[in-house]
Amino acid sequence: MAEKEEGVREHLADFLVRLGYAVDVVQDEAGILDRLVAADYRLLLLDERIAGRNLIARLSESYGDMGVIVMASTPAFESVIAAMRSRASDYVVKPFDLDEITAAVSRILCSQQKSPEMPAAVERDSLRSTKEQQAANRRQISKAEHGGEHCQSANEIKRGPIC
Amino acid sequence: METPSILVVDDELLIRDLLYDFFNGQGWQITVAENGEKALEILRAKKVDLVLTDLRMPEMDGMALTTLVRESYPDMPVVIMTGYPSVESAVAALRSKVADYVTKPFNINELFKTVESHLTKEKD
Repeated sequence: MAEKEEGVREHLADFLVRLGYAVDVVQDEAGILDRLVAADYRLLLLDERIAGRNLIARLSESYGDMGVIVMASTPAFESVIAAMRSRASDYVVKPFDLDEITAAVSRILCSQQKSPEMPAAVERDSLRSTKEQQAANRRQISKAEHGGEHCQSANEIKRGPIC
Repeated sequence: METPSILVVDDELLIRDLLYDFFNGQGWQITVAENGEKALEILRAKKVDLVLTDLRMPEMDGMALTTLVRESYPDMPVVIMTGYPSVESAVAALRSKVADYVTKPFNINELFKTVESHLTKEKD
């Protein structure tokens, strides 16, 4: 997840982790690019304010199998069309209805599972973390916000989407 | 490049005629349908590279047609045209993996470039 606002970032990350998803959190484009080099991701939740300079289109070219959900603060027709042309998977408007986000995440991950190119589930044992580690990761988020680092936590998918 | 074959779906005769004449003039194979049912019949009968459909149509609208096209032809590019653009319908189109969303009235040359760009993308 790439999100500028700390409150949204932490709230949504905690919510998704509770649903059983592995979530890494960054706050800018550099953080996204760093994380994509370091690990495989199936989905990017992207704050529209970070999606400048054709970022989605560039990510689509390099990481075509990864879904992208654009999160917009102010819905605008032009930005939806730009997201569509960049092959974003979904577009949601803040403030979120968490059910809407859950449905969007689940829909995209399930459609990837139906695709023969994608693995049935993400196995990332090396990134397994305990609840204590998750808490430490969360703490790192706020530390990074003040220290300038880009990314933090990773947790094994425990349940994933119900397709 | 092989001659592109596109299917235009619009309940307005004027739009169908305009697009038929223009794309035909470019040397493209163009087939027109006045509703979604006819469009699906055509898709079953002949090879089509791209569907260009109106959004608001009686009985089966452009989104319903897109959903049915996706089920049978998941890689088929679909371009929506509408005189009633909205954020909601654009988001619905994005979720249905529509290739593009064009508002009416359109500039025919720009529409041509849009359609052509999506045919090129598919070939890549």
